[in-house]
Amino acid sequence: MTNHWRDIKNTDLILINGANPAEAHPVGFQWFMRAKLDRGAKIVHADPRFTRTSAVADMYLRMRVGTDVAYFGGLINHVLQNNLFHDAYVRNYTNASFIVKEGYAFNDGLFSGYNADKRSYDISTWAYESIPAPPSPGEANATREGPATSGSGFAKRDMTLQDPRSVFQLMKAHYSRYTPEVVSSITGIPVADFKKVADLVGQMGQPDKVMTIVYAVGLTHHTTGGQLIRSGAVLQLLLGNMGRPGGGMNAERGHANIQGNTDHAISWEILPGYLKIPAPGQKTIADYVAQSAPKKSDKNSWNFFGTNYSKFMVSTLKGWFGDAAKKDNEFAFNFIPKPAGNASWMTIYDQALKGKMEGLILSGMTAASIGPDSNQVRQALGNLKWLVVMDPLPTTSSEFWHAPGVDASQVKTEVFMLPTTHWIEKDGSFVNSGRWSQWKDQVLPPEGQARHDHWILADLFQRVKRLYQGQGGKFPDPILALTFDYKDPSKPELDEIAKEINGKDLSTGKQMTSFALLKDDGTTTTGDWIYTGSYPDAGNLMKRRGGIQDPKANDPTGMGFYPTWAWSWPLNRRVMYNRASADLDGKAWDPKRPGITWNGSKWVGDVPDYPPTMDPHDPNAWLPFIMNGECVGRLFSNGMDDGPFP
Amino acid sequence: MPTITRREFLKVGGAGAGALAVSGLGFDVALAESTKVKQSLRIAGAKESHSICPYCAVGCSLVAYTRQTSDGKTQLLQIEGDPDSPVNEGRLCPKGATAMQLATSPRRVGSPLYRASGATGWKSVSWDFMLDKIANNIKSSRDATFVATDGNGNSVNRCEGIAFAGGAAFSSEEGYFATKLMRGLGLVHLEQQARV
Repeated sequence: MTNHWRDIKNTDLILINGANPAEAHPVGFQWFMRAKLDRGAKIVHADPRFTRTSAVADMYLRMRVGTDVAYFGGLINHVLQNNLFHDAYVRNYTNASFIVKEGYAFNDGLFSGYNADKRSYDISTWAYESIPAPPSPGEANATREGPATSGSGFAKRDMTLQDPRSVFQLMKAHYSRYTPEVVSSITGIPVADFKKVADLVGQMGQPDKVMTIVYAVGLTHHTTGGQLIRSGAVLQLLLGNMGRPGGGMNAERGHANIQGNTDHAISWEILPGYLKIPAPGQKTIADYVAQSAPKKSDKNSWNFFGTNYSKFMVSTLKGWFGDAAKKDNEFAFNFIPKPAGNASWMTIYDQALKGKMEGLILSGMTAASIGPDSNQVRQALGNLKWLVVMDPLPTTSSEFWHAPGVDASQVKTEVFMLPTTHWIEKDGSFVNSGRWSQWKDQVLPPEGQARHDHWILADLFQRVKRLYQGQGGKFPDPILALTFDYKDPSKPELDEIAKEINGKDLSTGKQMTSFALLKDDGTTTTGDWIYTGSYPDAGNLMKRRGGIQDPKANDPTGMGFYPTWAWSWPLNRRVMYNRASADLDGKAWDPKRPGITWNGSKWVGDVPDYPPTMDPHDPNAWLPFIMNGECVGRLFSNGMDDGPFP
Repeated sequence: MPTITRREFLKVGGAGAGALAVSGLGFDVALAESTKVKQSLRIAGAKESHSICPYCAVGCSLVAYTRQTSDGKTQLLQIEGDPDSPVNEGRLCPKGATAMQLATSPRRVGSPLYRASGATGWKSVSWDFMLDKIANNIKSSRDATFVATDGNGNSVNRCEGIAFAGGAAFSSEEGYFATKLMRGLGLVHLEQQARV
């Protein structure tokens, strides 16, 4: 979520797509009901099924599966055609004014650059028209170390939004096709119903109104999932709802710590903190950053991520490989494995079926019951040499080899079932959908012979390391160098690991207080830069309990931030991109629901997603969306493989 | 009707036992002798710990009550919602409210279990046996499937033949640790429930 659960009570209108929170997230749903009961917010539920969520919604729309782009597209069209967008926000905080270069086109359902043989796009035409990038005075505010952040130029802009090649005009043309009749024919929603929703949504572009969009796997479980979600985010940018309390694009995630473990990158294509996994051909950190990091495309763009990319990467390498990571060996960049291509869920089982996967470790996840094709997975498990299952209970994966109908004597896989501890038998943190990292106590000791997952992995790693030390083998360097700075290397404490994730200044021995202080000279470490600041020397901030037992003290703004309850990433910020909650002068778009506001010398309210003392009146002040190269919300984006507009 | 907060109601006093009819409610309830029941609170003398629900991503805070038994074991008595949390305000859904069942399930695997290739049943073995064998498997599979340089001459240093998948229900610290170790081994096939 860009926002968080309790924040939903601040909204005026809730669009729920691809989700059934009344049943799937019932306790979180109290905040939807609070918005409805306390401030008269409306709930609009668009779903193929009429569920318990629909039963308490103000409007239920029965729509066809996977047609949300048409639904949001129709709303985008309504907002654009009737000039209901938040004008100042769209002009200044989105890339509506950016000019797209000649060569970009959209015809007959295809964007420019389509290769029919490869069935994929060459995205080079999905780019802005370039103007030379002068050294801007604003650059003085950015830190200087690392590779240059400027690309070949900055984007040309037309603040009047009239240029026919402006993102705004291209978008208007693109979405003009989604008339209510077309939306109805694609989604199945009756025209009259769609028009009612469009009227409600059309009011949300006023500065003192805010809407939220909430979604779950009904939007993600599609091959077009990325675009389904993006179409909602684009609508929110047009209405000026991103970065505001009661606004945002809010995913209701499904598991206790899916958020935390996504952040910590148990995913083939990323490293902790959403750094890209290096690709073959990248020899140095500079190569890697040049191909991975966003590039600055406006003079008022901080390009925060791009500017700091090498610092985050080097600090992670230093944390992982310690003394083996040095200036003269690119900080052991070469130790990180570079995948050839997709190495995701689907590839794992495909490779097993082809006999190319020898072993699989399943830890708290049962492959045979998750994913689109159980039969394929169980067949794949039978094709492995060995399978390790780490779980407190037997699972469909641990027992696959003697499932009903299976002749166990024909299944060659060697299977290891390791009993692990439950969540309540260990401490550590869970991160909820709202990015709140909440520490839990160890309530019970391990039961019987169960062992902690991290102790099992630590013990295994030490054994593998000893085998390499004794016998040699393929490229043992990273294994021998991996840091294990724990009191007991085969039984690390989660508290020690939490400190490691936060990161340390090696020159002072102090815990890092902010990722803004990480360096790429090998003097700082981090495990995951977005968590830097969660565990300073003062203590583990995820344990804090400033809750509703004293709302006056613990929620001084009354916005539901509760800044001393646990800790949220990044830097305990509750609403991301909150600079966009205030106008160009730093005044809240809606003074009744301020995110951050400028008090003359600093930004106050939520933790600012912005330099705390940067004066909005300074012509060189950064724009709000600090994580991308443009520094504004992207209505048009070259970040998606299948199209710059949803 | 005078209001009593949940916290006051649940407060475990020094004496532990309380006849529900008196004082805590702020007024006296007259009960006939035959219907007056003197009960100890189930959580009398218990230790309060704080946890988070293991199920969905709302992140409801829990209060867990435990007691040491006479034979030195820790007994889990009750799990309830934490009234202080700004996320759930003490409320729990049916899954969270019955989370105790997960913790005390009789279906837990009691010991490491090994299934040899082609075997028709599990064998209960020691941790040492298991970890030793798995470590040898990891080394042998890694050595057999390690690619140092790809077909284009690029240094890639990846282990193609081992995959790790898990886990959205263990802590961030465990998850980060798994990522660090698996990347240290050179794995590229790394996944968890985010994709599915």
